[in-house]
Amino acid sequence: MRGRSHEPIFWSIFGMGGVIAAMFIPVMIFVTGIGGAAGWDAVTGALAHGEDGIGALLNHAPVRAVLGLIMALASVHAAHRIRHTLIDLHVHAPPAVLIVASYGAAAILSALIAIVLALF
Amino acid sequence: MDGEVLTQPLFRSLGWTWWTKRPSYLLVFLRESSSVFIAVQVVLVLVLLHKAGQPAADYQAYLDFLWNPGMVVFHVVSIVFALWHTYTWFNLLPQTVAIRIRGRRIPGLLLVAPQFGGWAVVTGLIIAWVWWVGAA
Repeated sequence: MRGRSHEPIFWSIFGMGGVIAAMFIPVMIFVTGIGGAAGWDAVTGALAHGEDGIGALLNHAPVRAVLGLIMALASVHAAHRIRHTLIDLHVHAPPAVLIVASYGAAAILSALIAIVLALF
Repeated sequence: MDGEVLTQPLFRSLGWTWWTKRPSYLLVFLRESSSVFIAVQVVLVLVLLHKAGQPAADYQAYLDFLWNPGMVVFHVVSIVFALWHTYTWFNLLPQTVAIRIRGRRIPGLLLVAPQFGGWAVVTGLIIAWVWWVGAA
C-alpha cells in the first residue's frame, strides 16, 4: 500500500484546494491574464502600478490573507494531482522522492506567497 | 476525486498510454492536466504581486510580458483547463456525498446546481469589485 498513513492528510488539503481552485482560479486567470490584455480599461486601471491601481485592490490585510490562502491551497491541490498523474504515467521514482518534490514545491511556493503578500 | 484512488490500479495495468485508450480516459487525463496550468498561473500571479512592489517600469515590463499575444494564448488555454477542473469538480459531489431525505437520495442536480450558482456569484462579485476599483 502506498502512503497509507499520510494520504488522508494530503487528500483533505487537496480536497479543499480543489474547491478553492474550482471557485477562484478561472476568475483569477481572467483578471490577471485576459481582461487587461484585451484592453478593458477597468482591468488595466485596477492592475495599474501604485495606490490607485493594484495597491487599492490589495491594501486591505484580509484581502491579502484570502488571496494568499486561495493561491496556497490551489498550489497544494495542483501538487497532489501532479504527483498522482506522474504515478499514473508510470514515472518510476521512489514514492518519497515524489512526495518531497511535489508537496515540497507547494510548500515553498506557499511560503513565497505568504512573504510577498506580507511585505506588500 | 473519484479517480484518485479508484482508477489508478486500472491505469497502471493499462500502461502509461492509458489516456489514449478511450475518450473518457482522455477527459480524465485532461482533468488531471488542469493542475499543471493552475500551478503555472499561481506562479505567474505570485510574480505579478512581487513586481507590484517594484518600481513602475519593472512592473510594466512584467505586464507587457504577461499580456503579449503568445502569453494570452496560454492564458486562454489555461482558463479552459481551469473551467474543466471547475466543471468536473462540482460534478463529483453527488458521487462523494449521499444526502437522503425521507429515505430517498436527493437528485445529483440538487447538489451540483448550487455549486455552479455559487461559482457564478463569486466570479461576478470579483469582476465587479475589480471593475469598481479600476474605474475609480
